[in-house]
Amino acid sequence: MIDFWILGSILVAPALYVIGNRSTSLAAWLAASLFGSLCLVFSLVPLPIGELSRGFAAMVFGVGAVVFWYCAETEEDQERGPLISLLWTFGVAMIALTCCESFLGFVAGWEGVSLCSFFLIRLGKAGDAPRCAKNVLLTTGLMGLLTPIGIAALAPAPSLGAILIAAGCVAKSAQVPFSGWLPLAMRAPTPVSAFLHSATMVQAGVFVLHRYSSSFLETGLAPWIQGLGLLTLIFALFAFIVSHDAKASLAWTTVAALGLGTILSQGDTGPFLLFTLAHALYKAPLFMIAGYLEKQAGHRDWRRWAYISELPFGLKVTAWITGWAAIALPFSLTLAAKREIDAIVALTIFGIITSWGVLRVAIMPTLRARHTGLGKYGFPALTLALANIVLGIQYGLVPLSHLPAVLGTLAIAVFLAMAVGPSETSDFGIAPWTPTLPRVHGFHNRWLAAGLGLTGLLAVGSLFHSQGAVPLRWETTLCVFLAGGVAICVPRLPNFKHSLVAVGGVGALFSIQFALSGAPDLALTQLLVEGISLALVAAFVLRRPRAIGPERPSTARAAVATLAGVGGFVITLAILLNRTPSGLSDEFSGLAERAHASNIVNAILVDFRGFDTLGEISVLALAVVLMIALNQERRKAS
Amino acid sequence: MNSAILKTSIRILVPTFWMLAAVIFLRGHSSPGGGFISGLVAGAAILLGKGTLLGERTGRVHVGVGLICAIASGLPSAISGRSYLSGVWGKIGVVELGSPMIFDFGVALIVIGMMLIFRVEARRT
Repeated sequence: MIDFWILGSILVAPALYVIGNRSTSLAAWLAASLFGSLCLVFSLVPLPIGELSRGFAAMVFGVGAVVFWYCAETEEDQERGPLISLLWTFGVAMIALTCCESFLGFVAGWEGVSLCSFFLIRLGKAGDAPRCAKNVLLTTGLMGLLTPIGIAALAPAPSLGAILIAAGCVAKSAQVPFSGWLPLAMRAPTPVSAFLHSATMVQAGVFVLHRYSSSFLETGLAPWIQGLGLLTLIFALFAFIVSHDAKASLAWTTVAALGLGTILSQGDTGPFLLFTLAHALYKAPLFMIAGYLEKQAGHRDWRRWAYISELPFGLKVTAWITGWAAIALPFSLTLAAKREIDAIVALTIFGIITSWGVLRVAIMPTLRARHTGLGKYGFPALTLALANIVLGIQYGLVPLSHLPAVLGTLAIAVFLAMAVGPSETSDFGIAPWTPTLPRVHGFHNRWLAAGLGLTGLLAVGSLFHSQGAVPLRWETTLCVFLAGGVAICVPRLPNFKHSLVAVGGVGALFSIQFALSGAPDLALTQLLVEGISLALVAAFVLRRPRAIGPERPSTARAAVATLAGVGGFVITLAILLNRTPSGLSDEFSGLAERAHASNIVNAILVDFRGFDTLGEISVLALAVVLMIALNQERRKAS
Repeated sequence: MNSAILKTSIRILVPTFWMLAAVIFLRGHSSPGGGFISGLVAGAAILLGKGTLLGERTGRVHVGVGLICAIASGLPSAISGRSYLSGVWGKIGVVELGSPMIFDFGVALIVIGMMLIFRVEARRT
C-alpha cells in the first residue's frame, strides 16, 4: 500500500516541470510545502514502517523542503522546471529506497537516485558537467546494480550475497576506492549538492549497509566494512588538505562523514540514525553557504574567498551558527550524536576534518567582509542549522565531559590550517587569512598555532587516556608534540645543518621517551645511533652547498611525505591499540637465570633469540657489501 | 679534523671511549649494554682516533671476522648435540664466560666495520 503511494507521487513531477518553466519560485514553493507537510506526517504520525525508515524519511522530507525553499530564493529568475521536477523525483526515489516494502520498489529507488543525480549534475553550468555526470552514473548506478543481485542471492548463498551487497553500497557511499565520484558531483547546481550530500544519494549506500548489517555480521564481513570506513576517513583527510575547490573540500568532509557512517552502520540503529540526521542538518546548510559565497566571489577557490569584501549580515550569522552545529559545540544535535559513538579514533579524525572544513568554507571567508544589510539568502540554511540545535536541546542536554575532546579537535584543526603551509605562496594553508587573525606584537601566528595544537593534542589525548585506549602520559604527549613540531619545521629551515640538528633532536627526544618507558637498552642504543649517524652525515654532507636546492618542495611531494608519515603513525597506533600483555615475558625472566644473565634484553638477543640476531647482522653485512658494490659501479660509470 | 680543540680532546676522548665500550660490552649480560651499543662506541673511538688512516679494507675485514665469530659461537653447542647457538658456559676463577659473549663480540665487530665502510663510502660519493 505504502509502495503505491510513494511511487505514485512521482506523478507530481511533470506538473512541477510545467509550472516550473512558467515560474520557478511557485513550483519550488509548492514542492517545499508538500515536502514540509510530509516531513511533519512522518515525524509525528507513528507509521508502521520501522524506526529506521521513518527517521530517514522524515530527514529526506525535511531537508528536501528547505532545499526547495532555497531554490525558490536563488533560482527565481530562470526557467528551472527540470531542476524542480528532478529534485522532486530524486527525493521520492530516496523515500522509495528507504520505505518501500516490495523488492521492486527498493530497486526502483536504489537505481532511481543514481539516474536522477546523473540528470541533475548535467544541469550544472561547468563545461565538464556531462562528463562528470557520466562518471557518477557509471560508478554508482552500474556498481550499484550489484546490491539488488546480492539481495536476491542472499538466501541461497549468504556469503556471496553479502559481498555483492557490500560492493554495491561501497561504491554508492563513496568509500575507498570509489571516493572520486563525490567531488565530481560538485558540478551540479548548489541545491542539488546540498540535497545529494546530506540526506539522499550518499546516505543510500550507508542505509543499506545498516539494513543488512546482521548478514554482514554472520558472514564475518562487518570488520572489513568498518576497516574500509576508517581507510576512507583517512583518505578523505588527505584529499581534503590538497583541495583548492571550496565545494570539493566540502565533498571530502562528506566522504569522511560517510566513512564514519559506514563504521556506525555495523552497530546499533540509535547512534547511526542520530549521526546521519545531525550530519544532514549541518552539511546541507554548509553547501548553501558555499553556494552563496561562490555566487558572490564568482569562483570556487576558497583561498581567494578571503578577499570577498561585502556579505549580508544574515549570511554571516548563518555561517557561524552552522559552524557551531558542525563543530559539535554545546546544545547541538551533533554533540549529542558524538556522545553516542564509541569509535574514538574515527571520531577524532572526523572531528578534525569537519572543523577544518567549517573554518575553510564558512568561518574564514566571513571574518573580514563588511556586512551589508540583512540579506535574505541565508535563511533556508539558518533554518536547518537551528533545527540541528533545537533538536539537540530537545534530545537532552549532554554533560559537558565530552566538550574538551570537541574543542581539542577544533584546536588541532586550527593548528593544522595555520601550520600546514603558512608561507605566502602556500597551497593549502590559510595564508590569505592571516591578516584576519589576531596578531600580537612580537608573537608570531605560528606560535599561536603551535600553542593551540598542543592544547588540542592534550585535550584529545586526555580523552583517549580516560577511555583506556592509550596509556598516555604527559611526557609522551610532549615528546610526540615536539617531534611533530620539528617534523613541520624541518622542510622550512634555511639550510641543511639546521635540519640535521632538528632531526637529531627528534631522535634524542625519543630516546628520552624510551628511557622513561622502562627500556634503557633501547634508549642507550637510540642515543648512540642518533649521535653517531648525525656526526657522520654532518661530516660528509655539510661539504655540499649550504642551501638544499633552489626548488621549493612541491605540493605532490609534500602530500606523499605527509601521507607516508601519517600512514605510518596510524598503522603504529593501530598496532599499539591492539596490544595485549604478552604471557611470554614472565617466562623469559625466569629463563634469564639459566642463561647466566640478569639483563633479560641481552639474554634474548644473544641467546634465546640468537638465530634472529644472526639473521639481522647478516642482513647488515649484506647491506655493507651491496653499498660497496654499488659505489664501485658508479665510479666505473663516471 | 683540523680544529685544535678537537685534536686536543681526541687524546682524552679516544681512550675514554675504548674503556666505555669495554664496560658496556662486559656488563651487557647483567644491565643495559651489549655488543651493538659497545660496537657503536668503539666505532666512534676508531673514527675519532685514526678514522682518516683506515680504509674500506679494514672495514670489510671487521665485518667478515665479526660474522665468522657470530657463526662460530654457535658451533660448540651444535657439536655437543644441543640446538645451534645455545649458550655454552664455563667458569674461569670467579668469572663466568660463555659462547654468547663471542656472539656479542661478533655483533660489535660488524657494527664497527659498518661504520668504517660507511665513512669511506660516504666520502667517495
